[in-house]
Amino acid sequence: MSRDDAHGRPATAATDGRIKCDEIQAVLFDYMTRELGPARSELVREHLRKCPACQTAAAEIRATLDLLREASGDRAGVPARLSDERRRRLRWAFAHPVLNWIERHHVLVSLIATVLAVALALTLLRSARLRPAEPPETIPVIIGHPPGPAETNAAAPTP
Amino acid sequence: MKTATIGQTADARLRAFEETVSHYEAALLRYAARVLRNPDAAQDVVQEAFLRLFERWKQFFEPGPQLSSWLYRVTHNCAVDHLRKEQRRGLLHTRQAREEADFAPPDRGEAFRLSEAAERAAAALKHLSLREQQLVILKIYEGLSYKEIGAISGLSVGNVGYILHHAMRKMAAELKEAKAI
Repeated sequence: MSRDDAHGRPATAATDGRIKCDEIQAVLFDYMTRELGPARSELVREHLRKCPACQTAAAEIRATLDLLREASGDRAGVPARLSDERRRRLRWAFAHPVLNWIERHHVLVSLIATVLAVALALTLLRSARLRPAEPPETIPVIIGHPPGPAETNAAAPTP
Repeated sequence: MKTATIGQTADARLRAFEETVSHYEAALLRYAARVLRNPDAAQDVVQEAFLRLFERWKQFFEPGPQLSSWLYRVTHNCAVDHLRKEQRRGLLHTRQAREEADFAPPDRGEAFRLSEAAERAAAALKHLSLREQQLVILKIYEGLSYKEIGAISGLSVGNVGYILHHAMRKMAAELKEAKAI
């Protein structure tokens, strides 16, 4: 079975002479934009010659298509090329791929930088807590006045 | 247009990239401006599409239908993202309400004048869903085939035809009601 139209439907599906208007109207746009194969196009053409209802539907689609084609000629406000500023931006991206990546993913980069900063701060804090506390420097305190040289000699044991 | 490969020198790669930009920019700008109805936003979106292309530039890129489809697809996705952002900001609703409230053809000067019926058709296009607009623009404005549209939109050829058929019927009904056809 040969595939005939843009939809891949077989050309022989509606060749029994009893083509329903629904089937024809469903492919009118395909027919008008040359998306139907030659065999199905011929069937549509043949049906349109005889069916006033489908002729009316075809006329509406044709009129809509023509108006849209007319509207497509309207290029008011449609730029023909990128602005110089945007072209410069593209060249810059080409020259600085890394900076371009950072700029284009600045949310992700900011998020990663924040997470790293927090992780670093927590690590420093933790290492500061784990370090054993050094004993405070002690200063010997002598109560009373220090012994004089005579007292020192008297207290010295005799050999 | 030259083909970009990994082994190229920086200058040759830049030249190949710029040639690609020059080759596709007009079509992409036209497409984005149709979807967004805002030339500045269209420039942003197309610039974004080329930046994404540049990020993948290290891969082998063969200019042709595949690259063209890829660029259209990325441009469309960027445009949809832009519209969603705009919608979140509430600007779109305000703009659409204003457009619907008082339909008046924009002033284009003497150089180009659309008939009122064509203006109506362009306005009816805006009332379709984004998917329908995408297909109508690609088919009627850009003249692409169902196969090419399927490659861009990720839809099967049959689905493209089905959606376009319904979109055209909706538009025809609206234009008939407005006595434009």
